[in-house]
Parts: sequence; structure tokens; C-alpha cells
Amino acid sequence: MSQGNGFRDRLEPTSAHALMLDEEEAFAAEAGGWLRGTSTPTPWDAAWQLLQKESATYWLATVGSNHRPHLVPVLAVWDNGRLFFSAGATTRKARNLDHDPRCVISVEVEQLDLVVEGKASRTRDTATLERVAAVYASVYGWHVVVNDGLFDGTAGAPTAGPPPYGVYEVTPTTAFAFPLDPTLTPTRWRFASS
Amino acid sequence: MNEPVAQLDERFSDPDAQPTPWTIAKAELEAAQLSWITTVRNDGRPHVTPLVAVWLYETLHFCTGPEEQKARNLASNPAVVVATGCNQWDHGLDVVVEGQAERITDQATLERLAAAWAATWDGRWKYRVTNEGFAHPDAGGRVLVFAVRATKILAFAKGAFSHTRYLPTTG
Repeated sequence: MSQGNGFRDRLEPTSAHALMLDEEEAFAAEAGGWLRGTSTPTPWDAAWQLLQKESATYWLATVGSNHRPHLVPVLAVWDNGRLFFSAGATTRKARNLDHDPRCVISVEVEQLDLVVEGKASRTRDTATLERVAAVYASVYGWHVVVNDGLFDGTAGAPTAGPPPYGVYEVTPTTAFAFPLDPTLTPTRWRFASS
Repeated sequence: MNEPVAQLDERFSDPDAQPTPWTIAKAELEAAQLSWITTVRNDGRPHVTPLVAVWLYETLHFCTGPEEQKARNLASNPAVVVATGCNQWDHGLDVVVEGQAERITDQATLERLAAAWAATWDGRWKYRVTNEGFAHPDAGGRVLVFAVRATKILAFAKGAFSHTRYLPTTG
């Protein structure tokens, strides 16, 4: 990638954490070539709101107990700024997350490439699952029944394997946007740990 | 990967699905504008970043500055996944290449790769071949070049949904 750094940091919400300097340098190098603009950083809300009503192929990256990375397309959804995906218990992604919940979700939409680093945790709360199910139905036309903390009652999601599916929420630690429009600035958001 | 064996995984496919022919998956890799590379950080977390990959000699190639996060990750763990595809969920094909990253320093291969990179996008990816890989023509920054020695390639067809696995026939 070419030289130059247009990377702008943005803390969302207020975070006391700072990335290690060597990581900052590395990220700056990776940002070079994608963007040259100098406009102000994109608010996080603008990034996820851009995505929330769009269907898209998201990529889920995990690491297995053999220290090998694993990357698969998943259907992910946003509910009020929170990021969810689902996975059958026997899939490699689910087994990897059992071993290590740290993951990365990335997505390419028309305007930008977004990378979200964080931790995936199973959510079993019925009210949350009902809301997430409603988003799946409206965005992907995928209809599920919430049953005992799982998505069930469906003929199976395309390429998702047989039901039921566990539902995971990704709690972001860091996110990156690489906008395709060269007048926009690549942005890193760091999230306060809860 | 030369003419691998294609296997349909019925668990992740429509009932009447057929495996995606290798020539179709390969065409997707050859035409890719943008790929995602996944490596493993020293602390065990996955790292994902977009990049421009090049398919040549039946092999996927990518390059990176030696200070970039993915290069640091590969120095201690060469396991890598590179994926490309279509950002629509209900049509198109996603292709995932799993394997080991290996440095390329052979001069003739680097010359061919530099020409291949220059032919992608609008011609902005111009590299000069050096003894150890590439250099940026202007700033002269070092760029390491890697081949992905594929252990497995997966194709996820969308619309008529199917999941096809390609395994090397030799080696």
C-alpha cells in the first residue's frame, strides 16, 4: 500500500485506553493508500446506521484451538447499534468461539469497508432475541422462532447448517472504517471496556 | 491449486445444490478487486484487514509492508485466510482460501507478480522488484510478497445456496 497516513482516531464512547504505539504505526501504514482525505472522523453512529438496514455479507473471523484463523461469511444484523450474528453449535465458528470469544466482523458496503474487533457472547435473553429475529426477518427475509434461548423453527438459514442456532452479540473493542470515497477519512474507534 | 477435488457439503447447501465448479471459484479469485486477509496476532486474537490480492500460477498472492500488523502476525504464525466475494447476501459467490503464507523472493516470479498488481484497479499498485520482494517506486518503502500455500479452498454460492470444498489433489 502507498505511504501516507490519513487515519483519524475517535474515541467512542470515552475511553481511557490507548493502543500500543507499535500497533498505531502498523494501522497507520495499513490505512495508507485507502484514503487520502483530511475531513473529520466519521461518528460511530453514522457507520452502523449506514449498515443497519442493508443486507450484506459479513465476514466472521475467529481463531481455533490450533491457532489457525477461520473466516466465513455470516448474516449479521444491527439492533439499535448492537451487532448480532447466529451460528449452529456444531459449526467451526461456534466451536472456535467456545474456545476464544475474541473475533472480528468485517463488511464491505458501497461506501466503506468496516472492521469491528471485539468479543462475541451468547445472548439468551428472550426480549433481545425477539428483537434480533425481527431484524433478520426485515433485512434478510429470514424467519425464525425464538425457543429456549435459541433461534429455531426454521427450515434452516442458507448455508447456516441445520437449526437451532445460538445468537451472539459482538461487543466491540476497536472498529475501523476504510471509506472508498477518497474525500472521507479512515477512522478508528476505540470503545471503553465495560 | 491445480484442478482440486470439489466436494459439496450438504449440511450447508440447498437440497438440490450442485458443487460450484473449480473454474468458477478460480474466476472469482482472478477477478477479485478487494479481499480480506485474516491472520493471528501474538496474543491469539484474529486480525482482519482489506487488501488487494493477485491470483497467479494457480496461487493467491498478497503483499504487505514489514511493519504492518499482518506482517508482524505472520512472522510468528504463518497461518492465513484470504477471502473475496460479493457483498450481496443473496447472489454471487464468496471464496475463502485457507493455508500458510510463504515469502516470495524469486526474481522471475516477483517480476510477473509486479506486472499482475499493476494490472489491477486503475494501475495504482505499482511496485519495483527488489532482492527481498517489492519496493514502492517513489518512497522506496519495503514490501514483502507472500504466496498462500492453500490447504483448503471454500466456495459459498448465494442465491442457490451451496458450500463447496476444494482440496489439493497432490501434496
